[in-house]
Amino acid sequence: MNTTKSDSKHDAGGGPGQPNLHAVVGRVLEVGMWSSVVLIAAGTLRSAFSGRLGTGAAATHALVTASATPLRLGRLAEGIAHGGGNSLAMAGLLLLVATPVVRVAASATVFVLRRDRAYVVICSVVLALMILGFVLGRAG
Amino acid sequence: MSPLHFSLVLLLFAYAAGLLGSLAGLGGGIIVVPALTMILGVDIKHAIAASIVAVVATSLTSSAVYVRKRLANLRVAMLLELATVVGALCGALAGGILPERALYLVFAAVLSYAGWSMWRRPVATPAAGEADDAWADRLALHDGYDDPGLRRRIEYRVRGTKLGLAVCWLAGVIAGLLGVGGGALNVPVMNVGMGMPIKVSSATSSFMIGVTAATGAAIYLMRGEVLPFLAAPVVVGVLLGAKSGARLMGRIQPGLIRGVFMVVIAVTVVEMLAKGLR
Repeated sequence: MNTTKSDSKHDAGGGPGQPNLHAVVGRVLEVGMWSSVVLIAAGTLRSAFSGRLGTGAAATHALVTASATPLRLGRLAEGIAHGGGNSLAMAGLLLLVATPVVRVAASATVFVLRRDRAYVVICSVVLALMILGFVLGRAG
Repeated sequence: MSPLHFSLVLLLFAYAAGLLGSLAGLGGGIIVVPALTMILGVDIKHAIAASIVAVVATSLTSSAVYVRKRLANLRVAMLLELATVVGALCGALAGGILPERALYLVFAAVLSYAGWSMWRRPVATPAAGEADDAWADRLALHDGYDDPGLRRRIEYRVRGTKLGLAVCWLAGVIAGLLGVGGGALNVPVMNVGMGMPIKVSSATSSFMIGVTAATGAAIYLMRGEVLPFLAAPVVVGVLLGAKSGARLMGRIQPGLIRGVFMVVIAVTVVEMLAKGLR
């Protein structure tokens, strides 16, 4: 981690033992991003080499115009257990979308430790609204 | 085109979109959605769904770099995210109600204004200290950053917090509705309206977009509108493109970033008008 003397006073953390917001947030972003990319790539390659994608323009057209089926976590877990490439890629996409949620939660924790009440409230509201997105999407 | 062929073409388009997107502080969706629908003939609904997930990816990859370089103002980001997240929920839910053509026209109008106001006032480092903002003081939004191009530290004071919140709400609505990041609105309002340097505005916007887009993407994902066949190459391509863009960002002069941004805005406006007026 690159640390310089010119760290900003409020974002850098107060000193030894104080959580560094930039470091925590950066870490969360990178771990989430690379884990999801590995899942998405693995799932896509699995689909591609399973031969289930088919060949020709008609197959492409069918894939591009497929109709939406609501995502259910139980079905997704089943698909992964059966080694489905699509399910694996889907899990990766889900992890990708969940990463910013984890990032906000991590930030909220840092602000709690710093007793910065205004930002604890701000982060918590953002967090609640993001979770609401998953709930509203599930409801249709 | 066979499915594998199609995936590779998607990957290339997505790479280009990600590169431009991260340089301009946009999520890349502004290029991905027109490319998918107009060039590759993908259904607009699926294009928006794939794009908004890819926008999350762009933001994650470029903001990881910006956070390390300490360009992004995390407090401003957290505060403005309150507005963008509410907007993204409204946008994603309203998607089915409003006619798309009207949305394209509104988007084109808003973008034109954003581009015009930014072009009129090129502010790499806005003048400090005029018009004090009590909210910005109370929430300790003022900050500074080490400019890699100018090789010195630049301090700035934030103003116009309420204007920023209002515009960012609108940015969130557009993000949720059209599968874009909303950077085209975030960046000008932070730069011109809130007095933040262009590099800080771009980096902070890029950071916020992850949260904005994830909120909209969650709705699309749970509804099942994100097709892995489309979304996977788009996400991977955009990620790689954004990674390249973020590497270049610190070394490029603010003027060049603005130039790229203006070109992207101009092209997008023409595309949106064409769609809306047809």
